[in-house]
Amino acid sequence: MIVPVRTSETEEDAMPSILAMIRKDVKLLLRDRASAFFAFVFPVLFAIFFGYVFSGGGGGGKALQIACVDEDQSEASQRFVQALKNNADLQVTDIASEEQATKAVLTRQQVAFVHILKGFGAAQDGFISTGKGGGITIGIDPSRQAETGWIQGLVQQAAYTQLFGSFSDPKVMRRQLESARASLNTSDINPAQKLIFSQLFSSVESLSGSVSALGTATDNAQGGSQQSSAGGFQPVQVTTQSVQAKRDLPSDPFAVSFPQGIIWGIMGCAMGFAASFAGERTSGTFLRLCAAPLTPRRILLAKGLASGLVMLVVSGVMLLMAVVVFKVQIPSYPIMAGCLLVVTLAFVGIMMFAASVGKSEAATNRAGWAIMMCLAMLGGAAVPLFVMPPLVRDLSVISPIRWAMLVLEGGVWRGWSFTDQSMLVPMAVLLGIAVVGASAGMALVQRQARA
Amino acid sequence: MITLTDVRKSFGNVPAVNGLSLSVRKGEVLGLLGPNGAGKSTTIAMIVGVLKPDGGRVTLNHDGKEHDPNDQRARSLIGLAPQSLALYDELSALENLSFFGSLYGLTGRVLRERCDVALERVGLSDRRDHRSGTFSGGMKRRLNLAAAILHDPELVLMDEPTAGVDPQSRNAIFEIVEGLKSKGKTIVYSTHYMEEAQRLCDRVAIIDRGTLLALDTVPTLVKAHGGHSTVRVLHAGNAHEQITQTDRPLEVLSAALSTGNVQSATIDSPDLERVFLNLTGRSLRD
Repeated sequence: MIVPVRTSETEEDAMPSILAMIRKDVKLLLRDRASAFFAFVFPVLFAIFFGYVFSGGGGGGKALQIACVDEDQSEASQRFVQALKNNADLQVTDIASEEQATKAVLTRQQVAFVHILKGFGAAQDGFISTGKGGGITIGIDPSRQAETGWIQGLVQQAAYTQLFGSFSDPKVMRRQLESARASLNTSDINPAQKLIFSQLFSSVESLSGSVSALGTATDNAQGGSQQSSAGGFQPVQVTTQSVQAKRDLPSDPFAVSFPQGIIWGIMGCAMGFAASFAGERTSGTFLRLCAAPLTPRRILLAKGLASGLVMLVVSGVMLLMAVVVFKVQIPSYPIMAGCLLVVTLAFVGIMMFAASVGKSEAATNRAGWAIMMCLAMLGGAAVPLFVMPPLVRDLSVISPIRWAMLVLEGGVWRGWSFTDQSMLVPMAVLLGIAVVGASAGMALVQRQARA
Repeated sequence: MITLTDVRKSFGNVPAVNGLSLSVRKGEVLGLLGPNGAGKSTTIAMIVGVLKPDGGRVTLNHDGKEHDPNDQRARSLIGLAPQSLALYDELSALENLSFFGSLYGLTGRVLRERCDVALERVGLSDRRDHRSGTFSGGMKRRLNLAAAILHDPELVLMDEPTAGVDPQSRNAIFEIVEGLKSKGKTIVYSTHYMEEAQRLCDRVAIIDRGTLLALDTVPTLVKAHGGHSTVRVLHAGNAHEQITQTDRPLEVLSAALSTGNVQSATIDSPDLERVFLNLTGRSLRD
């Protein structure tokens, strides 16, 4: 009697041997310097280098790029603009109109705009923000909550700097105090506050005279502590205007370069594992593994799981680096995790297919990288998709890397969710690639092994 | 233990194994003797189930049942030391053994003990933590063999286990084979070295071009196909060499020596090389 052949892939003792193969494959990858370089080092270098290239050459730190519209064109507004420009945390570009400034924010050329409204100078001379014009409007994407608070703070800081800077110029101070007393009389604040401000103006006049007499510059009088001592007093009225930036352009150069780096890292893993599997087939190890209680399918599956594990680690570490070191903001971490998982699955499928058709380790490496490089160039892993000419962008649909880039970008800066059509299509394509690649790979390797 | 019945396998139009039928008895060492390309490795690959025969049948007999070699459970009974080294150069000797052991369900203390014993047996205990890529050819062969026997299989298939090894490693491998034999393991030993087959094998299957030419014990093969012994006697004085083909070489030599006129004498006894030559018209090393 012939005992029936058991070819089940789900028998209970499969997992320990699969885990053993995963451990082995991870060790082999880590100990192969070339593969480890392409999986771990190259993607990081790529992401950092191109991040700086996209940011305009580096060296400029992380200053916020803002547009400044000076509608008031007064002496005070010009001093205020200068105070903003003097702030190292800001990179200020003068723009003629709010319309142009809004466009710059919409297209993500600028993080925000600061619009100095007409009457700013007059209001400044009056010391007190009366809410009757002359304030400042900050236009910014509502998703940029952190930057909004930061810019508001920097604007107030510049206003304080201007306010206290005027102490050093008695003429300006006297003129401003006169104007302030006049505006105090006409303002609708309650009598008690009027009294306090009246006494304050007298003290300031006295202080200004003393400072002038000492010839001491007061440019060190800036800082945020004055705000609290003034009991909520703000030298300028700041309002925030929502400017919803376009989602097809990134807010941060590193938000572009890190998804690309992740793709290169995942490609490095895929190629490393595919080549090592092809190498096993040409050496005695694959025969030896097939002689063990394992099917060729399971051997390839273990290779796929090992590669997937390493891909997730590589992409996870890169993402962490992007967030922690380069301050890339991820809209939703659960969505991002889903994106990474889908991209990983697709490349596991690609790896399994490449592993099954590769004739040898060297041939798989050469041919695999040659094909991958072309697909990467076309798919946006070198030149971002959003800067590609429309024709090339249309052609890129043939590259799996395009879909992977779209999904990663969707998670990193496009702000897509799993219900967005824009996200669903590339995800479906990637899952299709995963299923087809893995199935074809396992079928091929099973057939070849027993041919 | 194993039965091959009219097994055939071709690669394209080239037949590798052509109607091979043989049985391997439990506890014996069966030699597969033949030149390179004779079909030995293909036969072993079919026995272990990694190659599917084009025709015929391979069965593994164990515990009174016949198993298909594709049966995953039956494969646990088999240990394979393939001709191409089945080692990972980037892993240490211990890591290689641990990995292969874990494929057979060995874990924890049992796995560690088995690895220690196997490394001791092949003389690599002091190199256990060295990467196998740094080993000599002989050391790799020994480690390859250790990985094959780690799970204590009933049947060990050794495909050219001494290919390219130094004399020291060769002797170590011989000792391992003899040790396995003494423990009652069944061994299929493929080689093209007739000295190895003669020393180690209970029976030898002579294979050429995928066909089984003869299968029996070495003395029986020699007797059946080796021909006569050749006695060469060089007589003193006239430098005359007398060549005699005989089944009784010692008697011929004794008679020659009794004349007192012998300068030198040699006896060429038939061996497996001669058997192969007589069966195929070619040398084993052709």
